[in-house]
Amino acid sequence: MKPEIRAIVEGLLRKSKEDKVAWVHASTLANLNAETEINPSEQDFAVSTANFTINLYYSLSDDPDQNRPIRLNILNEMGELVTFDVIYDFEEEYDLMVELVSLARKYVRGEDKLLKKIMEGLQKPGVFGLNDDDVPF
Amino acid sequence: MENLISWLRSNVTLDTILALLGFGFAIYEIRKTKSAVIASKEASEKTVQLLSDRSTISDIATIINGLRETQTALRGNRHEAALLRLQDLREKLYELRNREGFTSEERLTQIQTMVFALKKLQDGLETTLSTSTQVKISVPRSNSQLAEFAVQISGWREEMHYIDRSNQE
Repeated sequence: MKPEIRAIVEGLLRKSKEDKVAWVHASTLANLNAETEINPSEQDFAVSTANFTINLYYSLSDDPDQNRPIRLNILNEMGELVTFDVIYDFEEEYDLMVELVSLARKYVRGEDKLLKKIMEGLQKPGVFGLNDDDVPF
Repeated sequence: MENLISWLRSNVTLDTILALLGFGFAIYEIRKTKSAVIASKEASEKTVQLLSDRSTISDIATIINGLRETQTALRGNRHEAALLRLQDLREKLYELRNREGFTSEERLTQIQTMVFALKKLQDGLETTLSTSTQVKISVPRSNSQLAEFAVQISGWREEMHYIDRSNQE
């Protein structure tokens, strides 16, 4: 991995762990083979600022025995590619990238917040799944 | 006091009085002209602003139309037409970046998000058009995103109309 990209990935990881990166789904692709493929929208994420976008996604692989490489693109105001890196599963940073994609997915789904809410609901006394405010009498 | 009156009688002539009156009138006229120049400058600035706002409103309308045309092209599998629209849309959105009312960090980030999504769709279509690939664009997902953008941009147009009215007051 390019050193400058590694620094960016580490920064994104740190901020993503703090839930402070506004990831969004970025895929426009259809799910061709639901049995074997992960839903494309579950593996393609982006975060934009006023001047650039960072896009992170699982790339297609020619080798079926190999884990799919993860690609990181940085695009400018016109949406043109400025720089990128492709990280393969034999590279030491691959696990970092997998973790980053996983954190982006969690952010987009709101998974952590939802699980926390469920746990809070389960810890409350009374019937789980019934909001007291909804009871008319 | 008597000395002053006597000095005035001996030194101040009708010419001097007329010259003083003329000088006062000249100052009055100059001040009037200056106010008129300032008012004229303000009016021309407002007109330029109004024209700029009109141009932005017109560009926003063009962008919304472009988004709708892209949706229609995608539904009809007319990928080449969609690609042309997407390129135009990206350029138009990029042009908005320097317009009045679009330079805030929040608005620029929204524009950047749209430009990126359009580029992503463009790349996906280009890949779809190439013969050797099995990748396929999801038309419902893409059109849903384009519809969201159209709604968001309509909101910007409303804001511009509001600015427009306040300028006319």
